[in-house]
Amino acid sequence: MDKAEKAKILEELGGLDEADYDSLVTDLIVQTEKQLKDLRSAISGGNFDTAMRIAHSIKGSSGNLRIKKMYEIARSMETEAKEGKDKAALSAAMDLLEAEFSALKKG
Amino acid sequence: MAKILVVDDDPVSRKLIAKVLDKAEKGYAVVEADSGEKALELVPKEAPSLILLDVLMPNMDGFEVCKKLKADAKNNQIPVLFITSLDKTTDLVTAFRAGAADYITKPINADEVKARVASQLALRKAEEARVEAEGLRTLKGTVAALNHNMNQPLMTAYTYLNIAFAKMEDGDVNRKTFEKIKAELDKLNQILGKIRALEAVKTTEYVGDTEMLDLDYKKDK
Repeated sequence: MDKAEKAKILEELGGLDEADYDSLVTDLIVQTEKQLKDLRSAISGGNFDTAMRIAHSIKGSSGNLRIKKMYEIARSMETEAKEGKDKAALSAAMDLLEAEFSALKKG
Repeated sequence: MAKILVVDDDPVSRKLIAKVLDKAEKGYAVVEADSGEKALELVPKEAPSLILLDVLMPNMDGFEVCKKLKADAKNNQIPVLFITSLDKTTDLVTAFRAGAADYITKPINADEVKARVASQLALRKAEEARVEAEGLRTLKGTVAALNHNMNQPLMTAYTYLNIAFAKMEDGDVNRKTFEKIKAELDKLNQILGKIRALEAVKTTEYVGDTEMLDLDYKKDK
């Protein structure tokens, strides 16, 4: 994320301090780490309702912090788990989500 | 300072909303709850002016929390604003049916959250002022009616007492009883006089069908 992009996000979030934003991203990384494990396990077990709820939660937190790709993937996974219930599609999206998460952790 | 209860099981979203409100120009006191149950526990203790409520939460979802609050006479006047990433029309309809005052979708925009919160708080303040004014109007009307209804028979009683006293001989056996009655009527007259002396109730001349008592409430006193 470049400086201009971050400045725009901070403005959209009501003039949030950069330190506060970074602290929220750190919180998000900690909570998403566990959620991703649970999400993969729910998909493997065909537990679409749990998968939908976890994807919904990731969508909410990443969306609020404007982590766009994670938000978009989680959003599509929530819809898939709710309506399509296609395990293969969800697994493929899961790989993408994990890749995005790794990129976020690396900063 | 208005107190706002933020209810969301997702700590990141909850903290972010709290920060946004914290930075608002109007200045809000923020209380956080991480579940629907916790929110219902905090409402009587914290008496928030407004609640920002997530929908999808484990055990008890936001719709249920809202319904419970709206069914509780002590808390049903608190405006509930849903703040959720559920963005379908059916979700919005369910939220309003549960008693929501407004609906904000995630990802949140800070200016939108602040504007909707300020708007709902202003509406609540106006409603409280209206209820207070209505109560005051009813009170004034009741006091005026009470004064009017008691004053008329009191004056009639005085008239007949005066006639009785005028006709009475010095040693009349009934004089003491009549004097006692007059003393009690004087007490009543004194009470009514105090009520009339209040700024809220002022007597005016009785002409035709016009009201006998004029309510002259001095707002600036």
